[in-house]
Amino acid sequence: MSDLLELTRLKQLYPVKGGHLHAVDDVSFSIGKGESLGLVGESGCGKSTLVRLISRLVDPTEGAILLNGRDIAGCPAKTFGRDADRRRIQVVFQDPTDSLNPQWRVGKSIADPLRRLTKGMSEAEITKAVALAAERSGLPVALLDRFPHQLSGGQKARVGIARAIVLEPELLILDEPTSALDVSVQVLILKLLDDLRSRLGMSYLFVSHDLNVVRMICDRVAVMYLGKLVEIAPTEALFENPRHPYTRALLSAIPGRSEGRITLQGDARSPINPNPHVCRFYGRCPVGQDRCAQSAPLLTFAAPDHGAACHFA
Amino acid sequence: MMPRAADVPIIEVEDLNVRFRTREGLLHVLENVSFSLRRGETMGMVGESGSGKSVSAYALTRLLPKTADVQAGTMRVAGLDYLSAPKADIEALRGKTISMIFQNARAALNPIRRIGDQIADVLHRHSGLTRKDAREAAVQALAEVKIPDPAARYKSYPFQLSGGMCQRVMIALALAARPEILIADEPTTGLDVTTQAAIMDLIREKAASERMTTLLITHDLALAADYCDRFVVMHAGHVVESGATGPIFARPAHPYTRRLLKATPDGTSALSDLEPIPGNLPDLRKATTLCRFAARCPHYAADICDVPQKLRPAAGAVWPAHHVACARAADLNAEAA
Repeated sequence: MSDLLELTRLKQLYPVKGGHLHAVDDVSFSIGKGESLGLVGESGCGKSTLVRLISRLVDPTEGAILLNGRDIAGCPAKTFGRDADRRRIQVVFQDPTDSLNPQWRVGKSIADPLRRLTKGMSEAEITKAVALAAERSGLPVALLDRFPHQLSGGQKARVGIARAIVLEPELLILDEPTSALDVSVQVLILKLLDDLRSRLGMSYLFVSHDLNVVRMICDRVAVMYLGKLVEIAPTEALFENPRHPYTRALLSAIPGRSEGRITLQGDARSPINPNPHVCRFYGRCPVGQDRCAQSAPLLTFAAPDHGAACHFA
Repeated sequence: MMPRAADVPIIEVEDLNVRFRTREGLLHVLENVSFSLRRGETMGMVGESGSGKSVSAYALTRLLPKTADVQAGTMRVAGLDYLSAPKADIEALRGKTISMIFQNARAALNPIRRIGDQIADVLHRHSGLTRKDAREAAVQALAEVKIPDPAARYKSYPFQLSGGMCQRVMIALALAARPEILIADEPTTGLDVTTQAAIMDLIREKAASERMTTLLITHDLALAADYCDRFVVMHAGHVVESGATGPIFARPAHPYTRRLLKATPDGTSALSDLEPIPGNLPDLRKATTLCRFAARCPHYAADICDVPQKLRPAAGAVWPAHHVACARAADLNAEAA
């Protein structure tokens, strides 16, 4: 599998009072063509910042973002909106209601990326492309004239997906696409997403809190903790044989697995001016020792595709 | 023989009907809903959005809007009869006796007051502490919900906190006055699993140490299974099944409960194993005591199913408290066996 996206030593620091908040700190990984990568971690671990970096809504402090071999990190966020690569990356946002313009008929929302990112499409071509995207997303064409408030949650989720795939992107970033939906609707949307990926050959970056969903949808999973990538592995390897203590704690907290719960004690370290020689998980880590406060572990690979950043992994 | 104190339900609801007057007519949102909770018990209430979970909670706290018409056979909370008690008495229960964790903590907190002050207000009003003592107790309350550096966080405003933090503040607020009853309406929706586990453990700890009665409203069946002694399953304003957690999971008696379980990812299922529930919630503008799941149910049979639904002991149930409202529950159970 050749790589569609490759992140190398990506860093995003935000200036705050008294220093810098390390939102994303030295993160490297890649997503293959047609691959679905899950991104998990607790709130504040840098998932959303990473999504903003890859969709180029913000400029990284350091590092490279290679899309098909071209570094798009150097292209400022302000001008990336007019860049030819912009259409190759699309995002499905978390809340299907908040991410639609309430004053626009949903057909207009779906057409918006076409009007902004393509040139010289006739109205007839736009209408045709919108209808195709709606059909692929399982949204009846009759609903395109409706406003968001006239649609159900599941239908709005389909609008969000149709808008994201109308340009046939190569990378689709899904930010908690089903967290606002009921289980019965979630199943439909997940099946749709799974089907679209194989039909359109897209790659997914699938951000989610729901590890059971990640397990079904993703080929590989990346785990982040306080701005760092702590583990990355093929899905089954990660779930069956997690190497990082944080991953183990995370998996043990999935509801329905009441036995063997690992409760994390202590407070999380501050992401502001973190000591580069101390492991970020030190203090909450059940296996942490003095060594972890003297040198921060690097991501090491036990198997070629299974990396973990822990001295004891 | 007098029933023992522990057996007297602290919440007793029988045939609760809630209707909303809207421009499109009367919406029959809850119909003949019955449930009860004993002191110290944790009961889950599960179902899809629109099934009437939150409306039940709002009826218990008397927070429904004026457009709601509330009727009930019995409605008794902590010894107070809602049907005859003056409104002021019912409202006086809030805070000290019955307390609620609302969905969407950030929206439920006052955006322009410091979070610590909001908790101190509750303590000042309900626990009779002086302003100064209430402030100290509020710091303690923040520490209890594991907010790091609580004295400094006291001064934060909701917008300065993450979603998980706001959720914890909301819980500190709800637990501040040591309520007898806690209604937790989707307390962990949108939180990551580790925070979710920490918050649920905290609620469970409080429930055990203070004999607090908890009604956990959630759409997450796995979460309900982990933390509840019993639960009720709601669909379109009807209670369709109720019973102890183990038996319901082991042998769900209502077709809706079975479909719900089949649609929930459990970590071992493949995407192709999951089945969506066909159809949508029915139109609630029609009052019907008939089965509201009929149009979505694969086992619907006109001659058997079109009769008023009532919770009955589940067929072949080893556990007498397991009830189901399905006319075909018995023959479906026999088929499955």
